[in-house]
Amino acid sequence: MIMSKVLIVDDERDVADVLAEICQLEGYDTEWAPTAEIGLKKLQFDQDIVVVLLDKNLPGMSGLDFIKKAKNDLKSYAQIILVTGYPSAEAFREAIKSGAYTCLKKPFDMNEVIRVVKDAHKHYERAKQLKQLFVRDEEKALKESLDRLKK
Amino acid sequence: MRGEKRLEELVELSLLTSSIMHDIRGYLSAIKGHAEIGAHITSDSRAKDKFLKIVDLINQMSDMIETFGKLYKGELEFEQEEFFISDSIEFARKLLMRKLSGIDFEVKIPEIKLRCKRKLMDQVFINLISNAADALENSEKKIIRIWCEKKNNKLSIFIADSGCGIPENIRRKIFSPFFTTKGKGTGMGLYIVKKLLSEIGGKIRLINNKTLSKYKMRNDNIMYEQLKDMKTVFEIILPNEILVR
Ligand SMILES: Nc1ncnc2c1ncn2[C@@H]1O[C@H](COP(=O)(O)OP(=O)(O)OP(=O)(O)O)[C@@H](O)[C@H]1O
Ligand SMILES: [Mg+2]
Repeated sequence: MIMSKVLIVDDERDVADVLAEICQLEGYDTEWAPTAEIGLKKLQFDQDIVVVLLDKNLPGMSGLDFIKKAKNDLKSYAQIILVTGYPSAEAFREAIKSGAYTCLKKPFDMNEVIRVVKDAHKHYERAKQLKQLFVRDEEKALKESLDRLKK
Repeated sequence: MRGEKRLEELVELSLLTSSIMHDIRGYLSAIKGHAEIGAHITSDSRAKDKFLKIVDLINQMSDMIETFGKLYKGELEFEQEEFFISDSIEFARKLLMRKLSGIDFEVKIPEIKLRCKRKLMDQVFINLISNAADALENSEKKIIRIWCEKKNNKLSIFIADSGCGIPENIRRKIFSPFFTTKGKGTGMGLYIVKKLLSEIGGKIRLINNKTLSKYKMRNDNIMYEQLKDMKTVFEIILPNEILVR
């Protein structure tokens, strides 16, 4: 069985390690990226990544830009959880608008991390299923119109 | 001139502080995470207690940091509520329960309702009561007294303790940010209290010895009795507008 992966994008190694360990306790494989740029590369080429835990303050590209690029350019279905200091209502809204699944406050609770990652994972599966349904519908429609043409 | 310099220093310090606070949050996340994982994987119940204790302390610390950070950014979005003063004090007492063990905690506050930011008042009491408890550490008589008095349309709340008292030469400085005489203090407690109270049109002052003896001379009210054994007395003055009748 292929293990689902959580990608952790955080320049602070200590924080990334703890997040990784928490996810591993729940049976997830983990990947670490110290910058948004590296994170995007990993997200692009690793199809097992289902959830991203993303620090908001990163050197270079910001967390918000990561979300926009992942959603608009990569069209990734991976669910992104933004990890921030204390999110103001404004920052929260902006993150969600850009396509984040939700936000987590630092310092986080282990159980909260687990709950949110699992929820995001479920959401990822649903989104993918929907897409497959959609693709199947599309294929069906295509086939039907082809059949019609043949007739 | 000196004031300007001081202001500049404070601005610089606050920028520095906010970047340090970001780092601190990172460290706290890591420590808390390790402790939670530790508690999760150990089968030793005493070790588990220790881990959970660390988690508990870090939660307290991050609450503090959060209030502190919000103060700097002026983001105190506390909600307006109607509440009894005594409930706010009771909340602070519960929160500081461990610190207050062995201390006589005497509250004489009639049913008075306020309409203002409840969490703000909670924080005020937490900081003042916490200071009082610190001051009592090496005292034989350990008493904290809280009472109030209505005068000229204003409500005064007194918070007093029988602790070490505040020496004359530092009385002027205690409300300044970062002024502390404690090894592990931030020196932000009273500064925050002052700032929070000014947000609701209130004030705080430290009663000086002259006023104290004047109060003691008064024989028309409960003041004399309340001040017995008290070494430090703070007076919070709340404006009439926030009193609910
Ligand atoms: N009830 C009191 N009795 C004696 N001294 C006090 C009392 N309250 C405050 N002080 C003095 O005023 C100083 C400043 O208090 P403040 O609450 O601002 O900071 P702190 O208590 O030192 O630090 P923190 O609030 O972070 O624990 C204290 O260090 C102490 O010297
Ligand atoms: Mg204090």
